[in-house]
Amino acid sequence: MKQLVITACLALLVVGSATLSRAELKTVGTGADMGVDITSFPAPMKEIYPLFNKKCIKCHGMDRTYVTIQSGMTPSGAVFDSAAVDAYGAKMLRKPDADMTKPEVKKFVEFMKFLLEEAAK
Amino acid sequence: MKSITSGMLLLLGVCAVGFTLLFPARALAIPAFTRQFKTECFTCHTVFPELTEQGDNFRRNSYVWLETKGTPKPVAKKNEKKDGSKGLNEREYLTLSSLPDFVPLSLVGTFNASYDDKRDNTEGNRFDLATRAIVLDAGGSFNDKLGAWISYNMYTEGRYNHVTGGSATNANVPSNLLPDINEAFVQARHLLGSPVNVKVGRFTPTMSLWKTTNKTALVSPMATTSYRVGDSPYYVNAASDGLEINSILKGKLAVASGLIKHKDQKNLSGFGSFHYKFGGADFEGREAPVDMDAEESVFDYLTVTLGGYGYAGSNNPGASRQLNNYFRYGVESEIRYKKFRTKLASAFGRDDNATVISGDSVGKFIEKNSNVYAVEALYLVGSELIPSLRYEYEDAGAETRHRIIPALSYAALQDAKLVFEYKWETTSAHIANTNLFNLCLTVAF
Repeated sequence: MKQLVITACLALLVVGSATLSRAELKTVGTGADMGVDITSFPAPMKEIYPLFNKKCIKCHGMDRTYVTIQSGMTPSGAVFDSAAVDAYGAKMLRKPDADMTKPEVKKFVEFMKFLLEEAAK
Repeated sequence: MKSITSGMLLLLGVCAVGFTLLFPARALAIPAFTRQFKTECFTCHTVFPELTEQGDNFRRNSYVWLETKGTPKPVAKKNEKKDGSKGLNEREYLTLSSLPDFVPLSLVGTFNASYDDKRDNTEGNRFDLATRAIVLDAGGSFNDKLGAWISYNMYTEGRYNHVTGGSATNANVPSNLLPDINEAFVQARHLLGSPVNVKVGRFTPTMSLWKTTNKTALVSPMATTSYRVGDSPYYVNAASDGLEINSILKGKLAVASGLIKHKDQKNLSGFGSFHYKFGGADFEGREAPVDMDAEESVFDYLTVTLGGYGYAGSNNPGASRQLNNYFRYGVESEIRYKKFRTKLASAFGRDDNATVISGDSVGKFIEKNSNVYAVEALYLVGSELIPSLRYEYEDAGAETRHRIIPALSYAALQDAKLVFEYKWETTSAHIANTNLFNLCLTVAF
């Protein structure tokens, strides 16, 4: 019985740590103006961050972007992983009113993949 | 005339400025699918109800939300809660019942101010201010297997038709009934695991690339899909009762075919169509890949959709009730490149007896050929501001008509828009031209 309780506790710890692992990406603020804490980011990612925020908020709040990356799920319930980032990059490039150039989208795709990795730590 | 026109222009100016000041630059939109899928109206529309690629794919796929990769959204495992224990998840009882979380209802109100310099002056209605229509729309899918759509005219001023925009004589429903139900259909999706969908009810047959509502300004429908010949009520985008089988093949090719039963007709009418897409997202939402390391190319942005359709049917137009056999066919294309969008459309047809003739000629068969062309260009200054310009040539067997229709559509809110449209029309039978000014406010919630 004791072994069973210990095993259950260990299992809960593993499940709990796995659940918490998606909270590593620290967000700042709430709602449309939500951001992420970039103090520990490498310099190239820090450079992309302001432009990324400026472009994304043209069509939707930043909470949509960061909560999606943090949770790995879009608001409509789809998986948001590395492959999805590539597809969204192409989609945003073609979106008429997104006003994103190809070099910008390339940087944003890299940035979002980096954020996904951070969120998964 | 001059003072009236000046008054109209002043009205337009005041409304436009007032509308701009009334609303903030950003706002949340609330109609049904926005509520259901937690996304902005701009995801599926430019200035509503014109559809983006995402919106068009959503409609084609029975109102099932397709992910950007093209994979359906994951369904929660039955009888397993989020914490892994057994039992029903929150709202899973709805999933098991195949009911959507929300009742997907929207209301659309349309208010018009118009000036038509050729309307009969004895009517006193050259300048008209009208609460035009209140329309209830409902739609959605059930367990991704059955889609449904209803568009119901709750209130109309005159005999308004939600699709064709308001002419008193443009309904293609039984002549003794008001067109209260514009569309009401269900579509079984991926029948028996096949790529085949089956649609039943009253619907606009899938022929043209664009349903009549798929544009920024609702006032003037595209001539190729709305023109009529003689007294026949038929037009290409008319909603009719019938059955349609459609399918999307390899994402790029959409085909449809079906049968229509017109009232009082022994014979069924039939139609068929194909749509093919190059570039962009395919009809199932899969984005064409872009090589981000390569130089920027025209093909990174270019999307071309081609379409063709045919329709053959019969009806008994006018008071003489003579049988009229007719057919239509058309070729269309749509080109999207960055902020530009161009629609090119042509439609052709023949009616063997569509016109009532008085006196001794009653019963005489008058064959009429029709040729109609339209080209429209739009430029997205922003998703909320879209100027457009259309040219139409219409030869429906009687007289030829030329139309030039510039419009400016402005959605200050995602679910409220103001459209100013001017229509200039000249016909081969009249020396004078027609000038129609229309200011239209539409609110959806």
